[in-house]
Amino acid sequence: MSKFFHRLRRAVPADGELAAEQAAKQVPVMIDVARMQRSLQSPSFVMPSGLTPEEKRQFILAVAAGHR
Amino acid sequence: MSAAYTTSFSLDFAQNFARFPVADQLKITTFQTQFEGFGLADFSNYPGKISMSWGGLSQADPNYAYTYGNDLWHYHIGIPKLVPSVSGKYFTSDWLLHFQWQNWRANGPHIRLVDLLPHNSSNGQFNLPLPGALI
Repeated sequence: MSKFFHRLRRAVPADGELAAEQAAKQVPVMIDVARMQRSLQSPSFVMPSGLTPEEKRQFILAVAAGHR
Repeated sequence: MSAAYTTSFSLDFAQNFARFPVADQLKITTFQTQFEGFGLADFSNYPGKISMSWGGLSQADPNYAYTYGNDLWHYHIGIPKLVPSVSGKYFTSDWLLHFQWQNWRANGPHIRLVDLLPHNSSNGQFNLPLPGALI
């Protein structure tokens, strides 16, 4: 192979090289399906922002008593 | 603009919370208020020690996968009181507030309070929240 074609070959990656490069850039996303389902089924209460500690305490007690 | 730090809890947590004395309940809600103000980027904003629950465990320990996989952390909440650790670097307490901190690697802005437990069970093992308490 001439030097010209050798340089050309290195400058233009083959399909396999491109696929490998793209795969290296993609980060796999791990999904724990069981955990996601539990998360969706479990009642969760988000504390309203800006409450004082005493107001937060009353909020949690109200949840415990079934008032929320 | 600062991040909006939020906390959440389950119904089960709320029902357990209701059984504690008011002073202890306020220690928990004060921690929530501190979290809303500072997040967890700097643990020095908190009087008690904050730890990842897999800290000090070998990867072969079954509790390592359980705690690491569920993003479990804990805070020395000061029940019954905060005492200096042996090293003198932290303040610790007999009771721990366990929480899940998802996206902790990116300083996630939300924590979910999971359980309030004595540090060790009667057999000397580190107490961990049961799977049913986790998401």
